[in-house]
Amino acid sequence: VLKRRSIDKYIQQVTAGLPQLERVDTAAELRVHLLQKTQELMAQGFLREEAEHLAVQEMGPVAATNRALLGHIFTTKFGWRVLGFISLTVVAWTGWHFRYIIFWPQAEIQRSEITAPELSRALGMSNIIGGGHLVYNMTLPQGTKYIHVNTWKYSRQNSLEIGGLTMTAPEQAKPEPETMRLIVSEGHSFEEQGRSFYFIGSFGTRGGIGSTTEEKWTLLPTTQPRVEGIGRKTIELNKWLPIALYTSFTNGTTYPREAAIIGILASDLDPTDRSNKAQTARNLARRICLGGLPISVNKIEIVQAQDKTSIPKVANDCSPSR
Amino acid sequence: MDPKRIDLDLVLLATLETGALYGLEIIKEVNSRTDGALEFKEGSLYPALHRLVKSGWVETTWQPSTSGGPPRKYYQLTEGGTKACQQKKQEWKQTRNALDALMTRFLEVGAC
Repeated sequence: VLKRRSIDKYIQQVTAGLPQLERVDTAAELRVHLLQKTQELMAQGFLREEAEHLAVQEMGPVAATNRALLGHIFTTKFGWRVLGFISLTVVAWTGWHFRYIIFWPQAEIQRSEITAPELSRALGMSNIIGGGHLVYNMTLPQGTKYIHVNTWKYSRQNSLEIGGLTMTAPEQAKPEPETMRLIVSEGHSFEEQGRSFYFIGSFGTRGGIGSTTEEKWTLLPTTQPRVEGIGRKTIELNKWLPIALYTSFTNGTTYPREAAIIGILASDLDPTDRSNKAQTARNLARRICLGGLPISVNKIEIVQAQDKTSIPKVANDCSPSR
Repeated sequence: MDPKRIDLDLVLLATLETGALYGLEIIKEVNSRTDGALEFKEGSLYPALHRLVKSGWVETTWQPSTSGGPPRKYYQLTEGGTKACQQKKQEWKQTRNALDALMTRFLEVGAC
């Protein structure tokens, strides 16, 4: 029984890992070999147990033969488990590291509300009152490096003015989607040097509302300011998206005294590059010309170039229509 | 001599030129034809034979034993195996001639 075990054990170990049919065939071949060898050794005077032991010994190291039969080094279950663990780890790490490249969320901007106390806390200002503050949560398109926030300001007396700021997108530092917030607030909520103004602030939401305020903006001397914004829109890389319209009315009038359209641009173009800068400016001007300044009496709406039905007649010089 | 240092494929192909043999017979044939100069562990024979089968140079058949006992798995050259054997022999001759020439010169000058 002991001898049989030595042959069986050898065959079992040396054929481990082979495909089933190949394993059976090889085991049969090896058994014939070992039995004949045992017979020959017994004929030389060895006892069966000794003969079987020697026959197995003459076959050489089990692991080396097993590796040679398999054609690779993973000869044990432990080896396969280690390989499996390493493979799973690599796959999991790769999947996690590139998860936002594989599954990038929808790039969009969505309007929500923020209360005055929340805004006060966020911006560290105590004089924010009232409501009507617009908050935009933005998920930026993949590849965004810079976020441009611009206003195109318009008044009866003045021609179109362009102003804005550029922020470095969080993706540049962290290759993962970041939700940012833009705040557009009604002017009457703020008082500074006796003049009303509107305000745009931006800050990340990772740490909750309000950590840093990026920008404080233009003054519009006015009364009865009003802000209206879009609801939800997809953001496309390198395409301007108007998100809000600010208007101010003089008491008793229906025409806005001043207006500003606020737009954003998620871009992967370097703004310090002169050609990119010029291109950005052309895009911006083209967009505002195509869209016109979408102001009508008793109706304030924000349109995009593709919304043909909503676009008022466009003047060649881009001057606003009344 | 360790057959790893020589072309084991050539050894097996040349051995099987005599006809179909089974594993233990191949070992005995090699020992006989080399007067025991080529020794290798018996277990290493089968991976080498299986490799030749996968290469298409050798084919196998299970045949009843002529001396009693269980059937045995016989190996024999295919047509491709015969050609491969001839080619390996030619290569071996060229190597051997080159080494002979080199060794002869060394022996003449007493370098070794």
